[in-house]
Amino acid sequence: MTQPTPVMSRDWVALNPLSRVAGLSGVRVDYVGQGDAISILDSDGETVARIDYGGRESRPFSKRPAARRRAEIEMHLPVSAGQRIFLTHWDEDHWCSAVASSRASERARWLAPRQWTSPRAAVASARMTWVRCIPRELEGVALCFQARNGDALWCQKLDRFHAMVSDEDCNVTGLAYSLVQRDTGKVILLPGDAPLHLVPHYARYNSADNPLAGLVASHHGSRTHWGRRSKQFLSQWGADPDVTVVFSCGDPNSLEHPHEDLYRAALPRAQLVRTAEAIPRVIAF
Amino acid sequence: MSDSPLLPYVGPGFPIVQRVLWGYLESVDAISGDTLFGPSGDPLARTEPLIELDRRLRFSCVDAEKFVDAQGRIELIGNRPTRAQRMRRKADLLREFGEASLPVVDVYFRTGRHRSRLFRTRLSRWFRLAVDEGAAPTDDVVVVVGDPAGDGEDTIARLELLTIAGWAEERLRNVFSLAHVADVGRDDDPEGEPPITPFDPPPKGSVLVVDAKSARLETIEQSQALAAQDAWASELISPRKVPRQRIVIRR
Repeated sequence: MTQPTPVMSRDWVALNPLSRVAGLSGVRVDYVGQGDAISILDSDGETVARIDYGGRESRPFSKRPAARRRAEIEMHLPVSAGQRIFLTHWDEDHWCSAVASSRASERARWLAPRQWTSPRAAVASARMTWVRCIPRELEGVALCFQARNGDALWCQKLDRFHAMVSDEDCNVTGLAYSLVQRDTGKVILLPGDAPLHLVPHYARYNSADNPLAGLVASHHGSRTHWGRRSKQFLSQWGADPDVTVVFSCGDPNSLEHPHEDLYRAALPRAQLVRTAEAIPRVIAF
Repeated sequence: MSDSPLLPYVGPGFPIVQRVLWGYLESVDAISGDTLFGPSGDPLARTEPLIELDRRLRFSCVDAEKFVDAQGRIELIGNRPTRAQRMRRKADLLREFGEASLPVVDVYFRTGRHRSRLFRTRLSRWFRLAVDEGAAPTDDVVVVVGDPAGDGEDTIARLELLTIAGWAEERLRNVFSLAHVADVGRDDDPEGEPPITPFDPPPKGSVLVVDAKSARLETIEQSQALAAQDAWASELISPRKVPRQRIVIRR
């Protein structure tokens, strides 16, 4: 069934990072210390969009002077004019490389969840020349950006923004993503800091139809929100030796990241890698 | 300074402090390992008194005096701002806070040991932080203050963590929000955002498919997997069912 949706057609088409892309080949997970910065790769291995743009802890880039920090970020995480950067949520370790006067702030097109924000996140968002939020009526709806060959980037805001509720765990109300290769059904999961079992559109993936190429571990491999249902969801691919799990975390880091044991229990044959071990880390279809 | 670095409201006997911040609780984390990282990203040796501490609260702050001074020049706007209001808000944020110090305060403590009476901290809540920078930490709480965007070093401090006045929180939430950010498809509307639901809410199981030429809502044939999705989605609709981190510090 198809419904006419004139209100959003033009802008969503303009926002689609894959409209001129022949197909997708996977993702590259850049080392940004404690945080996430993921590139969506086309069939030639070129970056066609980014998911998150973080990195401060574990000294991924010089702290000062600001110009040097900015130059290092832009060398490692280049952003072309009009490039889409899709944000999972407004925790600092997912956006903080978008420093003042950077190309990411001034040249990229950002898609972000509407959430409560800290002072520094609000000011950072004001520096972004082009940024939009998911409309309220599409919160919870799975969005599918299609490349020409049908490969897809899926995106979903996990929960509504409650303007009258003052406390919010932005990890579980942000955007979660996945990539699907049309011909093979292979899938790559990019949940941000959200627990896997709380991403509604992930429920449509199953081991029979969707071989799991890999995932970027939720919340940098944190134990937060991990539970029986997360393990149960991943375990359906437990026999598959071709799964790659990337832990995007600093080495060292202040937190208890990653908990590889959680993923080892669910995916005993998977390859587990950390972004700090070697760069870049690619999950390919 | 009071003996306890974390206290609820202490009334008129509030001690003289160097700095009052209003802070938004960004994260509550378990900490481990030999190296910690301060607010600006600099490593922090895990020596005494940090060795015994196992939790970190991280607050993103604004100087209270600076905010009070600036608020008269910032227009408060509602949930459905016009494009002009959004533009003004963006300019206000950059003018008043674009170059200002926005400190980050880390509070390290030990779970189950704290003496503060019932004091609940929830993510995205606002607090009043009375900071005495340079004061020696106590044995069960260490406070580190820094400015990630600035050139300075992180400093050790003592802190009183207090509830915030309702009027202050209301303004802080209004100003430090995403009110200046339009929803996709709404930025060109000069009269403000259309009604919250400009078209019928998408039916359950629907997806917005965007290709090179069109964006259309499609309803995918209901399957067992999608039925499960619906169950999860309905669970998510209720905010009370969403797991949240909560730390209770007892005195």
